[in-house]
Order: sequence, then C-alpha cells, then structure tokens
Amino acid sequence: MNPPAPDEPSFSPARRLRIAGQVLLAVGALSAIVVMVNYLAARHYRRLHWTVDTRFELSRVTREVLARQSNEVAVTVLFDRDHVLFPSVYGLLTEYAYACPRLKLEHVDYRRDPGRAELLAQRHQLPSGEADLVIFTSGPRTRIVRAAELSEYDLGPLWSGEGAVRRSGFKGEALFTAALAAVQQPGGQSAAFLRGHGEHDPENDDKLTGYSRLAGLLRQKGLTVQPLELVGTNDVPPDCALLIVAGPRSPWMPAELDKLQRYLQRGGRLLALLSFYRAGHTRTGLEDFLLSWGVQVSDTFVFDPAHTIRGNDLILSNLAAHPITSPLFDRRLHLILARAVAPRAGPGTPPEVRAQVLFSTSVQGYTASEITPAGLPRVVPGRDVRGAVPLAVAVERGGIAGLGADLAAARLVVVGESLFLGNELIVSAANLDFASLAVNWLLDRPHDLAGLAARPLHEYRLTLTPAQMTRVRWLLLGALPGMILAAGGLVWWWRRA
Amino acid sequence: MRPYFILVRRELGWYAGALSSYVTVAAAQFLLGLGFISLLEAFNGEALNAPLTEVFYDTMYFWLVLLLAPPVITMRLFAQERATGTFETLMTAPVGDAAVVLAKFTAALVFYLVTWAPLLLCLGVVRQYIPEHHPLEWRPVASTLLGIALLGGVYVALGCLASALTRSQILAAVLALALGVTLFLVSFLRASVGAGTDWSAAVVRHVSLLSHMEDFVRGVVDTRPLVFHLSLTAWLVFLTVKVVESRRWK
Repeated sequence: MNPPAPDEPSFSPARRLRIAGQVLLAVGALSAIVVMVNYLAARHYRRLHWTVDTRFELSRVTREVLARQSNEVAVTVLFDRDHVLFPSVYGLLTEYAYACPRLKLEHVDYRRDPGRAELLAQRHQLPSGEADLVIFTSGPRTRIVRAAELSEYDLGPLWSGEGAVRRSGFKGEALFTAALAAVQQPGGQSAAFLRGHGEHDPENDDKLTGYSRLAGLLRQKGLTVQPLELVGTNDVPPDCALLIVAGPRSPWMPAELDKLQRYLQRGGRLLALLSFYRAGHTRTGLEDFLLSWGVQVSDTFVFDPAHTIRGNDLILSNLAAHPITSPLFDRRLHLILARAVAPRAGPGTPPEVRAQVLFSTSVQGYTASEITPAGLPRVVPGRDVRGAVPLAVAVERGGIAGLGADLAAARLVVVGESLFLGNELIVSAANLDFASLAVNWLLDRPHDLAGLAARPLHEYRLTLTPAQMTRVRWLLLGALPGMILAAGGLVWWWRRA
Repeated sequence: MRPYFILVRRELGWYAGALSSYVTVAAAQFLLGLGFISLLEAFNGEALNAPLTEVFYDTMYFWLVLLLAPPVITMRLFAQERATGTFETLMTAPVGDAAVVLAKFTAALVFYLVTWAPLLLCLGVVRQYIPEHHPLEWRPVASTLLGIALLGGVYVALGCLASALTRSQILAAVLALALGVTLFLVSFLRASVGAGTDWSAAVVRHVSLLSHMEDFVRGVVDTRPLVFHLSLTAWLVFLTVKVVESRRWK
C-alpha cells in the first residue's frame, strides 16, 4: 500500500463536508438547547434573598396586592442614580416587577436624561425642578411617592449632641403598595375642601391664593378632591378621609362647628390652615373650637427678623421631631404673615388629646398683635412675646402614642397660615414636602396596610481620619500590590536559580 | 478524569510560576484598591444606606478588572501552545480534546478567581476602620463573589475560544476583549428598551450583565442569571472544543 502524498489532504472533500455538517449540527443543537433552557428559566425562576435584613423581600400584604393587579401599571422611578435612597427604591421596586408581570418598571435619571424627565414633569404637572419621586400610573389614575416621604429619621443623636441625624427606617414598601392599591381602585378615598367662608379654591390657578397645586398633590395620592359646604342639612360625607379648611375669611355658624366636631369625634382628619391676615384680623370661630382640641390659635402675627426675606415672611428651620417634620430636618419652610399656634389644653379639652408643636420660629422670633397696612409689625408690650414662637401643631386623639393611629383616632394639623400652600408658595422651600407628609400622617390608618411598617434601615457611616485614610491608601495601593509583586519576583528568582 | 486533573495541575503550575501571573494579580489589587479608595474618599463622613459591596460594583474599577483580567489570563492558553509548537504534542498525548479544553478552562477560571482574592483583602482592610454596623455582611459578599465567578466563567470561556481561534496571543486577547466588551455593552440597551414588553426587550433584560450583578451585590440570587451564565459558559466551552477538534479534519 502506498503512503499518501505529503501535500494530499487527510480527508476527502466529501468527508470534510460531512464532518463540517456534523459540527454545525452539533453546534446548532446545543445552541437550541441553550436557548430553550434560558427560555424555560425565564418563566420558571426563583429569587433567593441572601441578606440579613431581607430589605428587598416583599411582605405577604404586598404579594396579595400584586396578585390582585388586573391592569397594567407603569412605575417610573424619576430618581438621580446617586441619590442615597435610589438603591433601596429601585431594588425594592425591581422585586415588585418580578412578582407582578403587569407592573412595568422604568428608571429615568433626570440628570442623564433631562428631556425625558421634562416630558414626565409636563405629563404629570410636576412643579419645575421637582425630582426624586416614583410615579405609578394605571390608565387615567396616577399616584406619586416623593423621596421626602420615604424615610423615617432618628433625631435623637442630634438633640443630644452626640451625632448627626440618622435615617432609621425605609417606608418604601408601605407607600408603594398603597400607591399600587390606589391606582387600581377607582373612586377610593376623598378629600373635601370646605367652602362658604371665602376659603382658598382647589380649582383656582391663581398664583398667590389658588390651591390647584395642593389639589393636584391630593389627586396624586389617590384622593378624589371635592368641595364641601356644611350649610343646611349637608354633613361631612362618610367617605371623607380628609377635611381641609383652607384660610376661612368669615365666621363659622355654630351648626357648622357642630358638624365638624361630630366628624372629628368619629375619627376624622382635619388640615386647618388659619390665616389671620386673610381673615382681615377677625376671628372665625374656629379659634375657640380648636381650643377644645388642645390648640390655641392666637390673634397675633409672628416675625423673625433673623430669618426672613421680605420682612413679613418667615424662613423656618426650627422643626420638631414628628413624623411630619422629621424628614425635613435639614430643610426650610416658607410662610408669610403667620399667626402663632400653640398646644394648650382648654377647659373642654379631653385628657387623651395629645398636641405637639411641628415648627417654630428661631429664638429671635416675636409676636406682634398689630401690623401696619404695609405689613410691618406693631408690638404691643404686655401682650406680645419674644422667643421661639410655635406656628403649627399636630393633634392626635385615640391610638397609642408612637404606634400610629387606630380606626377611631382623630388627627388634626393646624397651621397659622394658609398662603404657604397656595400655588406660588407651595413650591417654595420644603412647603410641598411638608404638605405631602402632613397629608400622609393625617391619612395614616395602619389597618389598611397591616404589616407594612417602615423597615429598619441600616446606616453605615464611614469615619476615617486623614491619618487613617493615608494608611489605608498606602496599604491598598502600595503594600498589598507590592507584596504580590515581591512574591512573584521571589518565584521568578527561585526558578531561575 | 486523571489526565484532566494532571492537565489542570500543569496549567496551574504554569500560572504559579509565571511572573506575569503575579503582575496580573498585583494590577487587579491596585485597581480594586483604587476603587475602594475612591469610595472611601467619596463617602468618608457620609452615611451609606447600602453595604459597601453594593456601591463598589457600580465603580468603573470593578468592571475594569472583570473585563480586562480574563483576556490577559486566557490569551496564552492555546495561542501560545500553537506558537511554540507544543500544541501538537499535547494533542497527540493520550487525552481527549474535551479534557484538554476543560482543563485549560478550569485552570484559567481558578486563576481568575485568585485574581479577585484581593477584593477580600480590601474588604478586610476597610472593615478595620468602620467601628459599628459593618457595611459588610457575609451573605451579600458571598452572592457578590458568586456573581463574579459566574461572569468570570463566561468571560474565561470566551477567552478560551478566542485563544483557540488564533496563533497570536495579542490577537486572542483583543478578540476576547472585543467580544467581552460587546456582551457588557448590551446591558446599556436596558435604558433604551425601558419597560418594553416585546421579545427584544425581554432578551436585553435577560442578558444584561449589569442587572445580574445588581441582584448579586444586593444579596439576591436569581435562578435566571444562574442558568444564563452556566449555559453560556457551557456553550462557549463546547465551541472551543469544536475549534480544537477542527485541526483533525481541516
């Protein structure tokens, strides 16, 4: 047998073609298997949480709400990627999206994609520059959760002088689940704006006195906004989750006050914004009524010369530790011609009423019983006071202190000013966030979302002195790579030797 | 199995004795160290609401090591053997092509994991300086390492394939890097597909390495990326075996 010539191929072209075909077939078959395995894996999967605090694990209540989702819900995370809460927000919502295929999650970073952010702002009528929020949309219904609402803070270290404020809890799951439930349920709770005494109009777009932006905020929270008059046989409707008295200018009738009293007695929630300036320096009757709820509304104007822009307005940073104001600890509120509002038990105040100041002026503040037509203060010695003047009070009756409100717990927020939530000033300083947090607190009924308390949030604080930083830098960039290189050099030398 | 283990030991022995291996590990340590230093400088005195590993994966240094190390580790696997003429010797030895490829892949993967060992050193150093609430929990660290290993499997397999395709080590490294970076860049299509529901959006989300690592660093182990990485690795190793086999019938 003659050996093959050296330049002759080992295989005939036909055999090579057959082998190539077999290889292609094998590769194609394995590719198909890989695609099929991934297809099946995408449909039948499990997510295991290897975390101590299971911060991204959904509770039973949330899973039930997600299981009930019958319509598609678009969830847009309009957040700066570098925001401290972004990992928690996006991580948690990712779990929502995995648990519910009808939920379409999208992240829009307004710093990297300003055009898309602007479109969203226009579509949802967001005030200019407002960002870091989550928008839930299902059909015509929209609900917005803002970053300021998402955290609970521990102000203890700040008050005791032992350290800075700590973010202690993340309320994402409670707020997101409530938002999902709200966009799915047509005609949920309603908020009523009282009318008949010259109050601010929730449909009015006027810059100074219109309240259309506050009404928009309430709609974003899933509330139906409606006007309400308490004249004649009208009463507060049973589905009214929140009653808003926005800057009344004329006196209330006793029958109206009785209806208000009955509403609060059965666990109503009231946001009272009482401007002495708008009322033309007259009393409306609500002042005496609120005394029975532990709130004293004074007939004085408040000034703070060290914290003002125009003289008659107030830039407030003296915020108390309360669920409404704690998240705003490093922010400011902006009020104009406010009146003093303080907790004070009146003769008819039940002992179970708990009233707490929300914010005050600085210690340089003072009250003025009269003002000039130009809005300048005229202090009356003996009647007016100096010091930190309280301007807003939160009242709770029923429930257990610190554990949230029960079904019959009445809650009130009384502020001695109403223009600060008007269309112009609501976007000034942290006024919008204050309104949002106040409404959250007023609407808080834990039985609605049992088990969705704020999750403890671990806060990791890195505190390295310059010397320690230098040591770490030297260790990570010099010593450790150097040691590895030295080991390599030793091995190289040993092998050569 | 015995020839397989002998070949793995031979490959690991080469890595242990080559100065270039130590340079690779030292470079990885330097890059990881730079990443940690930049984080410490950015967050010193600030409060973090997420463990440090969750923040670290978002730095470019993490991805630099992940993308650059595999081509450097794998470029010599087959290309060098072909260039020096030892490939035919190896192929005529009483050992199957699959065993050769698997052994080289295993050794490269083990060395790739060794390249990431400095991450634990960095975490250990940082841990010394954070007195309370250590921003390092072992379970998210374990899932992060699992993610690194899974991604490494894919990239090392890609490097093996690139090395099997050419005689030039440089070309093998460039090819592996180009393919690896392309696979990585697919992740950025996530933003353009958004919350889309069509099949292309589903595919992009399924192969998005960034999404996979996002989960792993948060301590979430999802079976989908697990299956994706393992199956892709197996597919690439199979392709490499076929490329190596092709010398028999070319």
